[in-house]
Amino acid sequence: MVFFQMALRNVARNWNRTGMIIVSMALASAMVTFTWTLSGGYGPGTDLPWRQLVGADIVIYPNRFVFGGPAEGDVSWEWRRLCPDQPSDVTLFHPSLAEGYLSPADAPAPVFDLAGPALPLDRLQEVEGVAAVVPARLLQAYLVSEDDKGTVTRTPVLLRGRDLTADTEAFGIPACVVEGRYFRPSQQDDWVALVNGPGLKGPAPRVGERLELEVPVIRGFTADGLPVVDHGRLRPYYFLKYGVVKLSLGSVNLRNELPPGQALDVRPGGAAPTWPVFIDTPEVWVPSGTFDRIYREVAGQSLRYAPELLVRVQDMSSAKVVASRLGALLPGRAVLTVPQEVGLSGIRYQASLTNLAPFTVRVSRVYYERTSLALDVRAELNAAAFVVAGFLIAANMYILVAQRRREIGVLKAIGAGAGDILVLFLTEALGYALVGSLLGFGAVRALTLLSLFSSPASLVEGSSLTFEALGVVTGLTTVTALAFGFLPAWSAAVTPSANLIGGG
Amino acid sequence: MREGGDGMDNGFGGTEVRSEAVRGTTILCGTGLARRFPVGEGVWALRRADLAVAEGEFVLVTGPSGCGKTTLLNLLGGLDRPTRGDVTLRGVSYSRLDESGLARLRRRELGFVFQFYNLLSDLTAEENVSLPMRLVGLRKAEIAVRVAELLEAVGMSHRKDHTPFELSGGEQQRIAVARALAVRPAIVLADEPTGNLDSKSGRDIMELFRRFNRELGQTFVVVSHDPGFAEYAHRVVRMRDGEIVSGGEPTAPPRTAAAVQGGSPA
Repeated sequence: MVFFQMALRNVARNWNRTGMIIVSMALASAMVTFTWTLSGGYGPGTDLPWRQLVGADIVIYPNRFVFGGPAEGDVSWEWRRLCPDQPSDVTLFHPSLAEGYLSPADAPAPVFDLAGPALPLDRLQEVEGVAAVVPARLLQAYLVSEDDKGTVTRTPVLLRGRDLTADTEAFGIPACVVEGRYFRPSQQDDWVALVNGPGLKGPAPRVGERLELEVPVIRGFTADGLPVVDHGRLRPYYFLKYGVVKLSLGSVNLRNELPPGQALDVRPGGAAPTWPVFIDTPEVWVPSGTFDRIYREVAGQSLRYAPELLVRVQDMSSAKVVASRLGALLPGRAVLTVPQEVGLSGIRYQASLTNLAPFTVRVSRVYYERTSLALDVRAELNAAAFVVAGFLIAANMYILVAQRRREIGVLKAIGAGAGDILVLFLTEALGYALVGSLLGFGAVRALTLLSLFSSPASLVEGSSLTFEALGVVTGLTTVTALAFGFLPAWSAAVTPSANLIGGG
Repeated sequence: MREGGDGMDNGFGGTEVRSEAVRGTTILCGTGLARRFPVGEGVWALRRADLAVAEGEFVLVTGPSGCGKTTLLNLLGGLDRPTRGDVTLRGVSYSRLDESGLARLRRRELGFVFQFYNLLSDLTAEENVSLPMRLVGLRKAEIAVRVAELLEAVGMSHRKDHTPFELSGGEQQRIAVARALAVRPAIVLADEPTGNLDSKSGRDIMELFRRFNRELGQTFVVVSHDPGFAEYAHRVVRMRDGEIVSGGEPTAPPRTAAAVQGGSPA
């Protein structure tokens, strides 16, 4: 007890002398906290534009998808194919899923039946942190364009019905419309359209001109709710082209890049231009009211089967927690935050040299089959951070003991036993580790909070820095400090005090 | 071994105080002590030493630098283990004690004063003095009284709340003396207690030792290379080349009423 009290008093009085130790502990703790955050956070390229494109923070898919498949001999999984007429963000984020995927044999239907009893929409709405759950409004369509020679081109596009109130309030879409204007909330039922410009091929109408879409008729639905689309029967629709959506990937800017599919002539030795890279999925956005009217006409009924559910959350920092809550309510379904989807898909834009003279670079979108490198090595990064932090703490403990060998000798001379010395130093180590880890955790937490408060669209993984994380970080730091503090303290404790004090 | 009466020349220019015949019981006895350090081919810091110390005696161990004084003191204090030989304190053989047993023995029976004071820098003077008493489990009230008495006795009451960094060398050594006496040990071992002090402060410390010895009957074994301090001791043990060359057997220390009653000099 004497040594326990003495250790606590030493910790309280030694701020100057052991400031370095505490700072080092805090540094180690901050590293652990940071990697903890990283491990739970979102990867690069998963920023706001993707959520603006989808119109949600979380996407709920009807089925669970796996690439790797179950263990050998497990027959409860089967190979499935997506319906070719089923537009979905799945194919945007996981294009390989369009070819087929493994799914549990007893998986639910590949679409949500909005009128069916199995979908607890009301309960999803009530989940804490959920702002809104809406069915995705997606249809296949063709953008019709005609060149000067009268040649008609039909470009397959995704027709997406937008919730204008949400777009305006939640995602701030107008900021991303670099050409023309965005819809006003009052235009919910108007025949106006926005085009995702960079993804379109061939001539396209200019802003303010007429835009023609052809939407195939849906002849009916399978028992699973999948649409049976008749591409031979197209219904024309005419819109006022209101603007061009240019969703830039921002931080993924590349040198010598151009919108995908286009080439850039750059002379060798010249300054390499930098161009923004845009999300290039060919899409036509229309107000949700207008979409619903089109849907009723081509399908003969109101929207009943949705390929996915779109969820907006009150606070993006808690999106993963909300996703896990939703997942608990919908077993067998895939519930993923959009940034998670983007991160996992490993979508990258890659510039490749196609010609030397003239120097030509082609920009193309690349999907990695697996995760990106940063995601692949995340576990290793974490382990490395833990090891470095561990060595930092170990070095601190050795210094702490080495500095005070004479003091240990004196304590032994006046009757302290080896156990007493251990209690003294391990208690001090505990104190420093606790103080240091709290400081380190607090510093990283403060930075993340700063980021969260400074931008409502921040993707900092705030939810991972919870009390649980605090417990893990302080626990790891203190356990490491005790483990590495034990050896030098014990070594000093069993050394004859004459050796510790030295001759006079 | 030297014996004799009062005022006998001790051979170092001082006078050995031996007013009475040997009367105290031998409490500390080192027999055939030798210590070899494994440096290079091995260095015998202490070749052979037989030393007995009687209760109430004030023994000065002196000799040239490197003759083994500190090594002998470390062995007597159980701070180090001899290569050969054994030490007994009040009949307890060190060789029969494990490390924790030795620690308990030091806690209750031995007090140490070091050349470099070795106060705990994080503690105040008062806390440094109280530490040995807390280790033996004295009650708080008892500790408070005893600390006050000791600080008063060494003239440091006014500096009780100061940390070692705020004290001069002489003051620190006074605190160290008070700490050594805290649990009323059987014997106080002092290793060059004046070696880091100016001559006046050094003499003050030696005076303190003499006072505690005379008034309390506290047994002291003081190591010093300065033969000038022989005047304070009952007996001078002279060492050379790792051996005791004279003064290894106890003489008679003066016994006082205070010592018999265990009173305080304060």
